[in-house]
Amino acid sequence: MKPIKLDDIKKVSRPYSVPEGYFEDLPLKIQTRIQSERKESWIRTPAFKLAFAIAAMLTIVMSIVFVNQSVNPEDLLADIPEEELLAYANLMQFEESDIFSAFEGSIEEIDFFDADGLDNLELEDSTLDDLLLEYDLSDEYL
Amino acid sequence: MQNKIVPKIKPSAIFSIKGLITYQRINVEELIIQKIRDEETRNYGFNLLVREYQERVYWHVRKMVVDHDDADDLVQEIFVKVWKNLGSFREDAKLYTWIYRIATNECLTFLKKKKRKYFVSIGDVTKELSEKLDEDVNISGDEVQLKLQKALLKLPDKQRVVFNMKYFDEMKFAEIAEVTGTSVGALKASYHHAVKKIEEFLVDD
Repeated sequence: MKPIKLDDIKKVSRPYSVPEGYFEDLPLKIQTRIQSERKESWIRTPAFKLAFAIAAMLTIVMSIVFVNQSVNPEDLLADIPEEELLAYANLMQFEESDIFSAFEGSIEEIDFFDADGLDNLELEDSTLDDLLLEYDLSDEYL
Repeated sequence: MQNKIVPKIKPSAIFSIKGLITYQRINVEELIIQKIRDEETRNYGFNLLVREYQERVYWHVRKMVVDHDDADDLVQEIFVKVWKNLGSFREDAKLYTWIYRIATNECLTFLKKKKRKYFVSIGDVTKELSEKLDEDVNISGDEVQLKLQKALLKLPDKQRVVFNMKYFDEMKFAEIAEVTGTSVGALKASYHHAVKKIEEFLVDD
């Protein structure tokens, strides 16, 4: 076969097809890419990483404190001396019925024999009768 | 005080067309460097740089990776790197050889990754690129050019990049040596071998 010399071939330095208007749009594409890389590189700076780490730590610490603070209200009441509770009830001028209504729905959970503090409550007979009837305890106590 | 731009060519060269182009190129390059040097005009200088070199860089890359989308992505990446490294540009080097160096390294890294990523052999990549050549409407109609481009794909990547710079871009061996960091002697030998191989491939096909 006849040898082919490179010099015999016409030199075409731009042999492939390129989309129309490609080189007009390219500078803008490059600028846009540089802008987005700048934003990303700011996020990658040690100062940003440190600030982010501190913020994350603070959030975790505050969450732990908040979770620990939201304890059961009954536990909180248990820590308050009985005299202070009664003094508070007097101050707010609660009626005995108000106090009992606070236990509505959970009356079965109250152990009256252990509720020494209730001994000091002075209830009128009519109120007591009403309460015993309301909580269906008349058979037991009347 | 304003820096005076001094052309780096002999005055006699100005009278030839090639000399005129070279003179113009050096002037533009000097202007770009001047603008880049100043913090206030750096953006404008970079914009000039992109407009001046985008086509040359694109074609340098496209001939290596063949596919337009790959070339487009790589060209953008190359100019982002140029922007990031403007501060490290040594003014004793030519701006365009510095850009070519970045572009060449990006191309070679891309091709290496391509082979590694898909666990494919060099032969398979050549086949894939060769198929892309067949799909290109611009070249598929010209049988000789298509043959030549396919023959080029059979060269090792480093040899192909040297061949492209010498044959298509008509760069001097000294300039290619600046880009590749290889000695002029080694480049001459590499180019000579590449030409021989291409001529053999053309006959075989």
